[in-house]
Amino acid sequence: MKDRSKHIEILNLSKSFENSGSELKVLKNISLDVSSGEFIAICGRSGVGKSTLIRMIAGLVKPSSGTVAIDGDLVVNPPNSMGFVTQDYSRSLLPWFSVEKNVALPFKAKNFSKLEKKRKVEEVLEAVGLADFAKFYPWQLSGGMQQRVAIARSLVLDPKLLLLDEPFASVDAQIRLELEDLIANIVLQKKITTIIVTHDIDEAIYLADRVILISDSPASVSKIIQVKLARPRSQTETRSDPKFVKMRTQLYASLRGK
Amino acid sequence: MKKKVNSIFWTLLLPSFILIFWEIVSGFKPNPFFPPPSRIAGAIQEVISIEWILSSVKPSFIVLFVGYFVGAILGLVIGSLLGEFVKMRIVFLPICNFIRSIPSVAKVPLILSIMGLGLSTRISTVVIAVLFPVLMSTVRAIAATRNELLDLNRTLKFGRIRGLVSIRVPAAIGEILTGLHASVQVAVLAMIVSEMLGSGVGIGAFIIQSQSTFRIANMWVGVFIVGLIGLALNYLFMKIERKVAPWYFKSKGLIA
Repeated sequence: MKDRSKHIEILNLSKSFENSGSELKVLKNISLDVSSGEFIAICGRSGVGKSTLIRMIAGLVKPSSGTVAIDGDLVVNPPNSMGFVTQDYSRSLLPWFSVEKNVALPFKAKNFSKLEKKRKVEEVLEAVGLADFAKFYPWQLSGGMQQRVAIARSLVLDPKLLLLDEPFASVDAQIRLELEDLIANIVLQKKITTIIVTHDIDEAIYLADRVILISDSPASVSKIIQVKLARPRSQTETRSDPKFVKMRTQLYASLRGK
Repeated sequence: MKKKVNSIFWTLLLPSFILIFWEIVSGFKPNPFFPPPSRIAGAIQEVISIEWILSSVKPSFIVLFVGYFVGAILGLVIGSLLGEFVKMRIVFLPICNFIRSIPSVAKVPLILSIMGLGLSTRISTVVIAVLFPVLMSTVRAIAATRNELLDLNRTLKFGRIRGLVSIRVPAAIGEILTGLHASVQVAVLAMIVSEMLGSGVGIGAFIIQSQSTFRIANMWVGVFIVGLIGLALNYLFMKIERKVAPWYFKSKGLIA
């Protein structure tokens, strides 16, 4: 039986890497269910294995043991209807294509009419605020704008699942807040199940419905916090909400090992 | 405009100085093998004619261009495939490396004895000279595709060939162009060598014949023309590189 309320089921997921004969255990027995439309933040120190975890969910890395299932189907390759955004926008965009062609790239392996493609590309560029930059090349844009292009590309096929691997780590603080709101609004409006990996606890609480803290080596889930803050959230008000501050304190305490 | 005139002045400064120095020194101390530039200039007028261009320069150009294009395209296609398919690479790369390691000068007698004298021999020499370095640099560039793009390719479910054509090859275009650029000199060298070794046709043959019949000024004319061809192609390539992959070459400055 497929359980429709569970969009993603992660069961006893472990990963170790062979390193010159010795085995390095990175992740141990991670289990997590994500329901449809939920926004999850996976949080932890740098190097703890967050990226490995989200890449296993994306079907880009093979688990050593355990399983990931999306809509009840076991993930072995990147699933259909998934958008994936990484930290390094400048390395994931294609410099020989204009912004609109970069965004239209996912259509290459799909059958859509020209008109439909054009409409979708315009729609997502509008949504990320780049409607006027369609003809520009990525290397002519600022870092924040390049990351908007990458976000637009991940949304163009209307994914049901969006995976974000430290998406704002390479942009400056001001742009970072703008992009957080951009993502939050889009996934709320389109009801996309979203998992973000971040080392920033504030960002995790601000964006997510649930924050999953992973720590130790090998890393496992050390704390889960339900974020019951009203949406839409605001950078100024939400972040000064006593509930926000309390969760922040709790998570910091857990991260330091109490 | 003023800036441009200025840069032309500085570019021409050293060559003019060398020519003047050469002219003066050869006036004091004549050497039959270093005729003064004024005599070489006289020889240029004497040598260059429509008939001479048709009989000596045109055959060289045909060999150079046909050989270069065939070699470059073969190198690109085979190099891309070897870059994508790792098993094929393991099988073929050592042989490619071996053949590339043999200099053109050593390969020509071999090609001559197999194919005899003729246009096809000269073209083949250039094809083989260009193919292997282009192939090697293409393989290296494709194999170095960054992980973000490999992930993107898998996420978008492009498959190997589509991924190769629409992501990996264009992503490697900067390195590939650098390899193609370096192979221009290799092609000119192979052309000259193939012409010198017994063909009797082309600029290479003209240089050798002028030398063996002691028409030293003519020999210098030939040498200068080869240099000019190389220079022109180099300039052309710089333009192409900046046109095709501005994101790659803009960051590398304007060094030829």
